[in-house]
Amino acid sequence: MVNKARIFKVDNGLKRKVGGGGFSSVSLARVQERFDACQNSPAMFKDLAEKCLHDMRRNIFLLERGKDLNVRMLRAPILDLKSNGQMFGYKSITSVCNNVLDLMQRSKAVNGDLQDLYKIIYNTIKLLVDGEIANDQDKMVKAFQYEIEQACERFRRKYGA
Amino acid sequence: MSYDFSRVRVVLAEDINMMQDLMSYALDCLGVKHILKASDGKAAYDLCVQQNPDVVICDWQMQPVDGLSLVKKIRQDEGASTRTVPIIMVTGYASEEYVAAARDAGVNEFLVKPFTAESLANRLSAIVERPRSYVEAPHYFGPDRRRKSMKVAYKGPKRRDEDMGDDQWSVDI
Repeated sequence: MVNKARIFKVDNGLKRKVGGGGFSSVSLARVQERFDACQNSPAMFKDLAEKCLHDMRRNIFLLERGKDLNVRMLRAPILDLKSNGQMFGYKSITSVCNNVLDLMQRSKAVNGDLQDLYKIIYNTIKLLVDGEIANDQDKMVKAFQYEIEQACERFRRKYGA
Repeated sequence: MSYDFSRVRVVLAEDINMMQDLMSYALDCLGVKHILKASDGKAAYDLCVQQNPDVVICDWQMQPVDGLSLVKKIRQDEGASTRTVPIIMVTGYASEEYVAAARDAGVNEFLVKPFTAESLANRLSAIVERPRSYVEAPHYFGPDRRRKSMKVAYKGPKRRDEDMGDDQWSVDI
């Protein structure tokens, strides 16, 4: 039996509506100006971070009650924190998340050690958000980063992740 | 002369108010005057059914219904006029597995945070200027996952679409 795939073009009504010529440089500049303002306002990031931290807290709660969560579910709020952190100038979060995200991407299953690491990263990010510490050159951030790197390294040595 | 997006309806699905405001502001600056906001995939899908938008922009991570589920729901909606609506997925997930999952769900364009005004404009321009053909197969409905702009070292006859020159054809899979 041969399955057929139909390939077809859709009427480009959008092009008819908008015409041509691209976007004006003035409007692009206005948008970029707002994006840049966000980059320089880490305090704006707090509400957003609270939502991601809430998701992490919920994951920790479920794990502690034996709920079977996969690595992808655990990683999602950290990825959100990292990406949104970059949009809002929170370089500190990016710097502490990178190692853990890399490790989680290679991990196949959630075990006790990964749970512990998850709690550590949650507590670290919460401290950074609560203290509005956005600069990745901050001494405390450097110390967190080092400790998390070491924890990730121990995990890798143990599990080969 | 530049684009006139004033008659374009955009469904914007984003559950974080601040990001929703930021994206709304950006779209408004780019000329979009009809922004239909939803805070999760379910609300966005309902808006799509009611309003028949020209573009959907959705965040991946939303609760209770996320962006990927929204895309799948739209693409699986046989007979609906919104089934072929261009969808831009906004996300911080840039790794290969996420991009592949979004592509396989039927996303047209992928916008990774942090993004610039130019990258947002580029994704909108892409769906206006370079709309992809759609594929309807037993296990997939959505934009053609092959990128025509990719340079391939192919020395054989001209590509099938150039040869046939019509709007529709079938291939064995």
